[in-house]
Amino acid sequence: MATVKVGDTIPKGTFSYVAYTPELEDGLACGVPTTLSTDEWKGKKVVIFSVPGAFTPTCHANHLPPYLKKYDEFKAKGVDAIAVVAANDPFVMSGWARVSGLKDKILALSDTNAQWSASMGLSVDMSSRGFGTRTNRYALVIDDLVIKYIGVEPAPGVTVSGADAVLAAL
Amino acid sequence: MSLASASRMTLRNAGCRTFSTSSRRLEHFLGANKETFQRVTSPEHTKDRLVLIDFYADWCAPCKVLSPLLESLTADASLKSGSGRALDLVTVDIDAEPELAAQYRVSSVPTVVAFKDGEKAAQFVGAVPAPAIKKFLKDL
Repeated sequence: MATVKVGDTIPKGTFSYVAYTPELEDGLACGVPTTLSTDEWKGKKVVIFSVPGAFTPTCHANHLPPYLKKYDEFKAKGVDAIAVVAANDPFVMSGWARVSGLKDKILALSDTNAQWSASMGLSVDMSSRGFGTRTNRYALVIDDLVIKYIGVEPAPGVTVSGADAVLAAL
Repeated sequence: MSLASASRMTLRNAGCRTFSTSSRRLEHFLGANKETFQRVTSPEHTKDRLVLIDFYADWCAPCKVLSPLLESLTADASLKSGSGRALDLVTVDIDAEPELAAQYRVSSVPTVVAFKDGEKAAQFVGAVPAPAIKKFLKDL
């Protein structure tokens, strides 16, 4: 289970992702993965939520869309960035981001081999379902890299890691 | 790396042969490495010219549309930038030169960076059509 709690500083992590440019949507350009370090979140208020897989049913239908829909509410509460994280590779994350219409509102980050999540006890072995090691379903609010809220789903479904729960905690 | 020179020989049919050569107006540096890149983007090389860097990847379809278009546009010696500079083209394969790609923060391809006077002057992303490229050049 989670090895971090409110008040802890998040471990340092590096994600890979395809940065959004409008040309990606038109198919006029191909995304090239670059890296993003948690260091870039120093001094910022960031909401991170994690899904076991891009495009997978519960996430796609119930987890990600509310975050996009309530983007303005998050911004109004002083959130500098929102990121969705999964163990999928950056090309899959980029494709999911485009299909979901995230544009430049929500970063779609690849937690390579679920490493960063694992360092917080937040990875899960889904090999029995053919998924390998994935990130658990959770949400974090960090302010200057310190955890202000952590919600890890205890069962299938979206409750404490959902947009409403996080907004209530901000 | 190939060099396209614009020197020409013409043959006239009126019973006499004449030769004409024009001075080298443009250069193509295809598949450039870091050393070539540094040389052609230096202040010395770019003071009278506009150097276009075409960052591409072999696996990217839009690059296969833009690169030949850039090559043919810059092979036309009469095409100049808005400020009258001759055009050079450098192509960089981002898989072969990942450091250069990272240095210029290339996060999608094709990305075209224009250099003049030793500095990056402008850039555009995506396989844009010829009129858009010409407009881009007009402002430089």
